[in-house]
Amino acid sequence: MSRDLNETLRRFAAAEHSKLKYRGLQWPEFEAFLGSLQKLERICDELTPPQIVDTWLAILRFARRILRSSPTNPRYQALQLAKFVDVDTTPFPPEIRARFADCQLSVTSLLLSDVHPTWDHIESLLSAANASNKEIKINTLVAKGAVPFVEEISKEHGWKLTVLDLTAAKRADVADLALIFGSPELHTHWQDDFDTSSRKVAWLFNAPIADETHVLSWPGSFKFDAKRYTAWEGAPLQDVSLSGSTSFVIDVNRFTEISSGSSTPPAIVDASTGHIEPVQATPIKLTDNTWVFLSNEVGPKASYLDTDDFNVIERVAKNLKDLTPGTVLILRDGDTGRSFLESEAANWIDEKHGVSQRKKSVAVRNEFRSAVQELGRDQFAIKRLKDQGLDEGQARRRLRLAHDPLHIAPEDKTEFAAICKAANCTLTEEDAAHLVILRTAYRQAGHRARVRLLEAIEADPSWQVTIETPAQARIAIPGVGSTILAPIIAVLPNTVPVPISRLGHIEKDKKGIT
Amino acid sequence: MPIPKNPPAWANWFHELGSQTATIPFQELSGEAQRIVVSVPTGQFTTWMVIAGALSIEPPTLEIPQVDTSYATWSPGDVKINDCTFAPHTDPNRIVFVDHPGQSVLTDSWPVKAIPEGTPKNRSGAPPGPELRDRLRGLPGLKNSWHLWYARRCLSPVVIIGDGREYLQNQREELLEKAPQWFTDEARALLSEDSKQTSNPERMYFHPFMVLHAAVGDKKPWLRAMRPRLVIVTSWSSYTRKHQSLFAGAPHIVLTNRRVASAIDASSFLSIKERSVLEPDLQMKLTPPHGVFLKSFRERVLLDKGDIGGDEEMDIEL
Repeated sequence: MSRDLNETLRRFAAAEHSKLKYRGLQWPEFEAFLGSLQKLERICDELTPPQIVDTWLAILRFARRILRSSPTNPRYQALQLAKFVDVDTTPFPPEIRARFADCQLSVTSLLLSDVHPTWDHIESLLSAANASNKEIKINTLVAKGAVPFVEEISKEHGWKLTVLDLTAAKRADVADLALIFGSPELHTHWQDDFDTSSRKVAWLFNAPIADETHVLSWPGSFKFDAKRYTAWEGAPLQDVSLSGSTSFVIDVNRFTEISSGSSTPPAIVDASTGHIEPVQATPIKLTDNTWVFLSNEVGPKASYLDTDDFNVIERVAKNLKDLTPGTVLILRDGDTGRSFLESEAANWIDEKHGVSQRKKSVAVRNEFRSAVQELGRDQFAIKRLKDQGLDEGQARRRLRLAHDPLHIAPEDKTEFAAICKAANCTLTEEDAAHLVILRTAYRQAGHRARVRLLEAIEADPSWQVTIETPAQARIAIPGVGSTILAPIIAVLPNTVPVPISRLGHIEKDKKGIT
Repeated sequence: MPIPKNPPAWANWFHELGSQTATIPFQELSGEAQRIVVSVPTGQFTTWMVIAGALSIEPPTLEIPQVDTSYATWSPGDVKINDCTFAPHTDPNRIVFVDHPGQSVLTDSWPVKAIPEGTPKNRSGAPPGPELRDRLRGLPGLKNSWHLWYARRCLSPVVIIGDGREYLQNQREELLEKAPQWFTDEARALLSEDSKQTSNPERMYFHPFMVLHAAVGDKKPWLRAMRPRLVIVTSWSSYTRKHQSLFAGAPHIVLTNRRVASAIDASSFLSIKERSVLEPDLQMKLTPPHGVFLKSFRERVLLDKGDIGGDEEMDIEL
């Protein structure tokens, strides 16, 4: 990719003279498949399907997503459709068995002709270029999960396509032609509504990746309307031509493709900290029937992935209300990473201040934590803290924080000393200096861990495909452990009581899928 | 695509945008400052064409220096721009540098810019390098007065606010290398400045242009109160993140690259925010080429409400 003056000249030229051609294609076999799959989904929503049916539903949905937004042929091995037609339905409940068998029939028909309807168009463009002895560069936009498939197909056919997902397209150099497969909106995040999706892809037409852009649609696509892709009010696209159908019988609501699971968060208990006053935490529903509970007040911060111009970056939500469905949370994977933090922090102190300082800092932290935990068992704990000048809210918070493994101590020295006094602990305001060193060490360690996380995210973009599914992706961070990237399905408005020790952990809803 | 000898239409238009916008006066407290949002297919290189246009315009008239006020100004004794104070001279038309009592200047022609209260003490710029000095001396009519010409431009700088400062500087270098003929001799000289200090906020008023990040003013009230002649913000995201009072009275050009997500927010904002009417002649001069779109609005200059982004109590984070 060149980011040079030459490419800038091409981008301005492409934007100034952009051409948009739309072609609506017929594909009755795929349309029949979409219909039968929808019926199977409905019956599976109404009844409780066996696990194997759930598994096949996930495979069929994946195949649908790939086939409706990329030039992948139905028999492409990774889609597993050929295996699907051979599944033995005998053990299935009768209603599900009937729908499943219908779906198998439609897939059988789909597999009879193992080509994609857009292949003719690609071939004709290349033939025309060939006839005029012109080598053309073609950028193709496909679903993120389909990129490796289409790269392979392109290679087999000798098409030399540059295969891009929407993120990669933003960085792409301007080509002679751009082919957008399926509805442009299908290339955005699954959570975006139709209008938002249109706004997010409008740049493909008003800051295009080629001198001429072709949109190829077929059943399964949304209705095409070029007016949706203006840069902003009063700036319509100029050179637009349409051929074929712009609307299809079956539109797919991508949100309904996700199994909704329970909308009631599971009750979280922790026997080891049962005597501690729980935290009022916000339940956040994740994929795979899991939840995470977070609090603005205590526990881990809500870190999430974002993009800053073209790069993936980590942000921290200042308020949980800022989180929205579709946001990808960065969550810890069990207690992995803790040992990295501990050893990095220890090394940092050893290097900067010496081993004895490290021992002193850790000892002060442990002594303070134990003292406050012990104070929490005292029925007059709140009163004791209030006697030292804390208000009731502060007092309750401090007692809870003593059980938060991520917390060290208050930064305010006076508050630290007041709590020590209430807890009959011999530590004084001077000892807080040891904690300043410890806190700095952990911040340094945390910073290094975050840098490594972002490096790991950059190094292997395959998580993007998983996230788009949507599902949770585990990122291995060399030397640190691993972390989970989890798309949010819903943020519940009402808080629920959760043990402080469970904040930020992924919790499986044991009630199962409803 | 070969680099054309003459600048393409879009480059000329951005040059014109810079020169026209640089004439818009600075707005004082409670005034309404102009914000021009330009939607582009790529923001690359456009920033430097705008700056070149702005620098082609004679800077606004500066103030008359007073005794006991701190100013950024050309210090003949140091042969560079410094923060200086003045003492009275026996000649009422002259004023004396406190740090160089033997040196006096005429009050009505010496370029100075008052520095806000709280500006770090003892700020000192670097002298223009020999190459830059030679370039400036070589400009028509500036053989002996190049320093004052240069100082006037430094004291009314154009500020870029955005992410990727090195990336922006690379574009400047590439433009000067590959398309020098797109610029006037004056612009080439001013843009050639390569002191590596143009991203240091403490050097504000010491260079003809500055490249700063959006959070630069969050904890620097003195910087927020400075008065550049033009601010170019390289994304809508940077515009919304920057402190509201940072250079608030200066006209702003906000570039929104349509491939960048925040351009959608800009579009939504502009669809509901009342569109201000640019002066008719300005509107006519600024009709953009197809593929570039322009809207504008006005923003009231409000009282500075203080620093933002306080340090919260932080614990261990992974």
